[in-house]
Amino acid sequence: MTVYGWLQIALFAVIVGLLTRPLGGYLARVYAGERTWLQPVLGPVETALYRIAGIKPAIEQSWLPYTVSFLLFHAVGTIALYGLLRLQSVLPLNPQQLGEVSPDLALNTAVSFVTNTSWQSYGGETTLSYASQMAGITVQSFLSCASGMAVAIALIRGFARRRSATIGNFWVDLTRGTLYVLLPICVVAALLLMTQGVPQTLAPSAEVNTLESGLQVIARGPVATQETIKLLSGDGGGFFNANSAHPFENPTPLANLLEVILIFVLGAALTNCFGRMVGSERQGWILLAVMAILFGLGVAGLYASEAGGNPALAAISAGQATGPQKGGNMEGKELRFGIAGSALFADVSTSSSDGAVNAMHDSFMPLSGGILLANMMVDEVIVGAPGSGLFGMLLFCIVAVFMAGLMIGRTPEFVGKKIGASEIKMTILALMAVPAATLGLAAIACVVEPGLAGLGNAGPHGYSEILYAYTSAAATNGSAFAGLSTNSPFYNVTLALGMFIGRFLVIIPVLAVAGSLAAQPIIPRSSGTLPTDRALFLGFLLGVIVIVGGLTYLPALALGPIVEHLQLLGVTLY
Amino acid sequence: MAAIFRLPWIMLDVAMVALILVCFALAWAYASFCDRLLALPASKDVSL
Repeated sequence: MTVYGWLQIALFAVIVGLLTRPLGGYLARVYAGERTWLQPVLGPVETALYRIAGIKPAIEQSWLPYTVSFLLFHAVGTIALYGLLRLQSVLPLNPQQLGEVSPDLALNTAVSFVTNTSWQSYGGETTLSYASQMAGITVQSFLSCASGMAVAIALIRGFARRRSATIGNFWVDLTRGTLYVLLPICVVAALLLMTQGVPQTLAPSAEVNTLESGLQVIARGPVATQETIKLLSGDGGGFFNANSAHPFENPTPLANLLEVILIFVLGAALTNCFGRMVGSERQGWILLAVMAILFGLGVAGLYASEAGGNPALAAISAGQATGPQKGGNMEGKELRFGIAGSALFADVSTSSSDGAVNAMHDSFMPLSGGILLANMMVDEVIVGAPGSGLFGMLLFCIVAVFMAGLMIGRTPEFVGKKIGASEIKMTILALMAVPAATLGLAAIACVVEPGLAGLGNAGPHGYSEILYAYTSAAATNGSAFAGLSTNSPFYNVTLALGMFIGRFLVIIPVLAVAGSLAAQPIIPRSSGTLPTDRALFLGFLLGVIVIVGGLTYLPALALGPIVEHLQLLGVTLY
Repeated sequence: MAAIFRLPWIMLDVAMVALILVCFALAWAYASFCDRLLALPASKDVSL
């Protein structure tokens, strides 16, 4: 580990911290329907969109119509993206004349991008036309992110409102999130990435003659516009197969820094938005502090593990921590990012549910792989994707105040709302969906022939590859461990099922909680109220997240990365 | 004629679209179930 490496990580944390409050305030104004400085430009567009779609923005919805709108919107989006992928060979903007995507892969890809997962069982540059990348992948990245933020805002309104039958209007939240938040940031960020060398063109792949008299095809395309929303949305689906390890997606260390900031910034700002909307910014900072502690532990563990290198090489005097080969485990990493830049990106990506990668996670040390898995297994609460990270954290807050209430005999309350049996039932339904999908589907894949056929490695590493795939899918992360061939009907369909469960079967009870809370009065603070904006609650919330995650997944982790690490110490490799 | 317009592919496409619709219909039913669960008094349970 180096001082320079730690400075990179610290710089990232400081920038995200500085952006949190101003962006949080902006988000609160956008979702409250207040005027923003972009109103003169985007206001007429917003009004026109409502008029075309027949939406009455003043009319709000109760939780069930809000949920039905959410489901209908994504059902149409899934079928539209499926159709686009299947028909791309006969559609324009296909200069490489790529064929249609197979039905099972089209299903997987459509579900993947509609659920904000971006699991990719394909290589973008060799599979998707420009039309599919732009009108399919990029559009769904915007919309799935905006709908995730809408759900988080609906839940915040549940906490903030008193005796309200409604939680907002889904169509308005979707439109305002896309127009006033995602589009402006993406325009600026795309221009910044282009200054670093990210291409933005509709020209076909370039063909060049190499010094060895060979012909090399260099893929390019409308990368910058897809890249920015890929990062900002928590989606993570790369234009190229190598994702952000590709020099056209992430050319320089400065671009790398911008990319990790884009991944985290909206999720962090939403904690401040929450604090403002419930009338206690301090409460928002407590949530962000919990996220920051979990993130700090993860990135420190990753950096130390990768900088320490492979102990098996130390045994043959070729250690990577000290001596002539020092520099850490550089297998699967880009030289321009090094250990710190790769560890930071990997931790940000798996914490945030983004799933973009700038290094191959399969080549990380076993303990690092375990950290990446653990990041995803705590239900995306370490910042998470915009929206899903916040509502995941708020679900844990509900569990924490409920447990604290049981332990000390106080009525469970959180930001003025009583937490009753209905809220707890919905919260548990939401929290159980992801582990059930992850562990259930991974167990099936471990015992059936089509599941084992995709393995690239034996033993615990192979098992980790399967576990990682389903964890990534159900947590709507989308990053891949590599080593596992998943472009088969079995994996395409089961992973799509995991992504569907991980998105929709979580969001439905979350919106139900929002509706239930909104209908309640706000209880004034009293001597019997457990303060949730203090360090004590911060520690308690941390404990609940770690214990719930640990109890659910520790046996699964023990069979994979933990046993692989222990065997590595005995110089047994997989 | 592109390969996708041949009968076996069309049948597969119909199956995939049907799978998508069934999943969303089940999600809708799940939302209705949650609504019923919320409407119940705290002391009572619900059966499917």
